[in-house]
Amino acid sequence: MEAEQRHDMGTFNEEIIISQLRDQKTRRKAFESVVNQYSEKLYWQIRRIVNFHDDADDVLQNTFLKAWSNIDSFRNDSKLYTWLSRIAINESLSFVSKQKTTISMDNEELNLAERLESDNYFDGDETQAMLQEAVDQLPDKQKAVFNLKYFQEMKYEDISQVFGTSVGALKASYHLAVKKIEEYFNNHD
Amino acid sequence: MNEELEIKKRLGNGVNNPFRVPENYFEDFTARMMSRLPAEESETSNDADSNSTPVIEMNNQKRRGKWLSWITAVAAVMVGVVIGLHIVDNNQPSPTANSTPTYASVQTTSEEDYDDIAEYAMIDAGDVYAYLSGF
Repeated sequence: MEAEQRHDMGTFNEEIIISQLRDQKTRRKAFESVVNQYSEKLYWQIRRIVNFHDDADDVLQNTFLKAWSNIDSFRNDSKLYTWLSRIAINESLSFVSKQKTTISMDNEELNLAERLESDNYFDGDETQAMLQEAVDQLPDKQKAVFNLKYFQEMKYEDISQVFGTSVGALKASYHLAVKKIEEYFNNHD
Repeated sequence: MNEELEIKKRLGNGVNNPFRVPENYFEDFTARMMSRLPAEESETSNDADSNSTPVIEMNNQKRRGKWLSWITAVAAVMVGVVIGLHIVDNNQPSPTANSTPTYASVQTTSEEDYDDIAEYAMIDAGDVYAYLSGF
């Protein structure tokens, strides 16, 4: 599993943090704990969608900026991490969609696997680069579901909180994604 | 799931993470992120929304909108007064015009005048028509 916590700013008690986030006086300090607690996990979610470090860094910062400005809209009916994941995925997909528009406007043919293999922050082999390329060609929702399930090893129940979709629909979405990826590999063998 | 097993088989043992990050990236991220948040002063002054940038943009837009509506209103009043004077002037009996001018003749004269007035007032004739017709 990619998401490991490297920091420890004391025990992270979500209930206490949420109540501190609601109070203007303690909000900033509490938010710092949230950033510290979840930045790495969110980074890997984002990186799997946008592929490159600089882009992932930008999207991660935008995710937290958006969370900060909308902190009052956070409801206790979901976990903080689920709420942040939702923002992170939306930000990532919107980033990728904008990027695709720019690329198609520039009429530039880009091969993701080749770009990854020449990236300093990617040290996977050809198969891993191909997997990223295969995932990249999935429709947005399937891509996000596949990433959360396959790489983040999130439970369907938690993913369903992120998307507000039923577990059944997610399973179908994941199954389709896996099938398409396998087909992609078969076609490129 | 067969396909999933196939993918895992291709990728070797387990799910490896081929991505890397710059040294100390995660260690430094929190401080870097916190420095990007809006300053505390703006948080206390804007109790409705803590994100200062959009608030500033919204306020600027509101201010710009207010000015535009004021300018349009003043221009419309000026145009109205001038048009009114012209209509009164046209209704005055003259040796060449009919004593009872038709609606069409008043209308034609007024439309020509709109353009002259609009040009003089440096505003688009379309804006004037739109304003007078209530759009």
